[in-house]
Amino acid sequence: MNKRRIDKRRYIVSFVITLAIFSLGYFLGFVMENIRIDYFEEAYEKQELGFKSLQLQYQLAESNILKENCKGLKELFNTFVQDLEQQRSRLEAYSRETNINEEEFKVMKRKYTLSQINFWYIANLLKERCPEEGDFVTILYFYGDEKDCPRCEEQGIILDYFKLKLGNKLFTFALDSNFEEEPTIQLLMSTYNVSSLPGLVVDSKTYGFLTKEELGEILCSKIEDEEAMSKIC
Amino acid sequence: MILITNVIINVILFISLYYVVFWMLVLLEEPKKNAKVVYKEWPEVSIIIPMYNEEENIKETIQTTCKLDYPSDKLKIYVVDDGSKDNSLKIAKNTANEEMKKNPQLKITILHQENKGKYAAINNALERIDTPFFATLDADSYPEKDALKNLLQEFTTQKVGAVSPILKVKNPKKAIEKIQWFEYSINHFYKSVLTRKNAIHVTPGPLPVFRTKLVKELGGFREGHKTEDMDIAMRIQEKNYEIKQCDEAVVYTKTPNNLKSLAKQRIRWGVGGLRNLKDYSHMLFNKEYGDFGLFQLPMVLFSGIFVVITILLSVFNLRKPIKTYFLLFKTYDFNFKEYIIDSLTNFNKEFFFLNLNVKAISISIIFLSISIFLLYNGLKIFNERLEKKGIALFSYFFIYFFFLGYVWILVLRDMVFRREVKWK
Repeated sequence: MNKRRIDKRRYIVSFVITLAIFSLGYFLGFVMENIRIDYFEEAYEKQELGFKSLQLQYQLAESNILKENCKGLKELFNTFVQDLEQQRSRLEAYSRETNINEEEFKVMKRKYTLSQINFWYIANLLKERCPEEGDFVTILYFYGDEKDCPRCEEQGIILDYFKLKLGNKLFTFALDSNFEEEPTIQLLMSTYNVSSLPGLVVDSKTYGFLTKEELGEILCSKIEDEEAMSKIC
Repeated sequence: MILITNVIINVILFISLYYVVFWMLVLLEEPKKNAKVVYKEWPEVSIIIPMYNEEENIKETIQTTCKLDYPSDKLKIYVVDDGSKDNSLKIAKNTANEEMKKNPQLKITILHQENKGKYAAINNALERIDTPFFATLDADSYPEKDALKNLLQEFTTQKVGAVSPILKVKNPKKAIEKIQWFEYSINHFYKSVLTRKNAIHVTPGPLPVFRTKLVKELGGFREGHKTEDMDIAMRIQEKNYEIKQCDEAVVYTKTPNNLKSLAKQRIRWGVGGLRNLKDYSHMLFNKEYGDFGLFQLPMVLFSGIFVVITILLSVFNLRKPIKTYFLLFKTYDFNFKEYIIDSLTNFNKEFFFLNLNVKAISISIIFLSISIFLLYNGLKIFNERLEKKGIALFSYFFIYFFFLGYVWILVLRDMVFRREVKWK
């Protein structure tokens, strides 16, 4: 019988096509990565301006120039803080799944961490100085990775749940306890005696892991707004 | 760990994609040869029906064979009972007598032997055969009337050693049968492409037609690790003869209708396949055997391993998301309605797009398009429509894969521990 022949050209052409499809995939991924970084940088800049504006307004309010303007201040705070919260969770999710550009993300993460602490601080001041607008709860949430905090994932989900239900009545500020680049985190942890993870500081009182029921009870005792109450209590 | 799994996944994806692209090019560049032999006088053909405990099927099989549209004086039927323990032999004899009474030109011979296995039953009849062509027919399979004529018309040159028909699952009622219906349709489309480069490595039991002289030269059938249909095909390929699939010849066959027997069948195929590959390993990666040796056989070897690795990695990678969703639903006390409402009211378009996993989406799109392409062509080969098989189709694409993965894990286990496989 005749000897068989192979068509070398087809082997090469197939390889080139396959390689092209793969490269296209990688290129798309690369483009997407850059879009993400640009987005986060832009969002951060907006955030920073927002924070400065808020800080200024707060100072003005404190110095009696805008004494009557607690309501406006709170509204402004709400919008900024909501954006911040969403962006932080995106950043977290994204930095978890990627392993490229780690340095770039560390810098951004640090910026966001600082914003978080700033907003948390201002939220507490707001509560103190504008009691009529102070019907909300702040939670500082210290988390870790899967190894040193196996229950953090569940805690995060529970916090997200209440955030969805309560909207502007609850502000969570999540801080990565392993994020050594930002020393303020450790400072806050020792100030509030957070010794184990997850650690929650609910309106300046410290707790460990809180189940949905436990956290729900604490929140119900603090929040007065009826609409919000009806959703969780 | 993430890096290693990533490399493995990418290598598997690349090789699989390469494989698909290669056969797509064959499909595009080498149109099907439609040349058919026009016989002035149809050649003589023998049909060998080996059976073992087939009392439920054998009557209909013999009747269907006798009804084949083929000159009765050119057809010889051999039913070989491989030591059945039930009434198969009696039923076969009665049916044969009835049929020969109806049509005195028909020649049906009933043979009986001690239980020695399917290959021995075929050889038993093969020794008595003097026709230039013969076919084997599993006792649970029913050819369409014109199948035999169509098959014989494919022997266009002396180089054609065997021609296989298309197999359809007979009366698929249960989901598991419908799933196999889809699987067979896609498999036959795939083989219709392989035919163009003579790269078919198995001639399944329902009605493959062989050139008698060739098979006798090869020394008949062998046990072939209980996959004699692969063993014979490998030896035909080894001699550089052609194995073709005839897309116009249709045979209906019964398939396992529960998971356990399906798994059993597939383990037998898998173990037999790998052992045969080992026996004929000199053809693997050997360009003396053309695209068959260099390209197709290695893929037969890899496919099982790839499935196992992919399944294991999927399970490994799905662990975390499953846990996350479990915790999430638990927080909602498994009230899915509430969860959906909450996520819809908080849906953010901007984040949705930023969060898209480009890589996963690209891979899914590519493989979905390939699947649709295969499905379309599978239905075309079957010349049928997608009627009331939606759920089976969904299971075929998304769940069946895991079943095959499970089967392949067992196959590899049997290969490693050299366990014996039962064939029935």
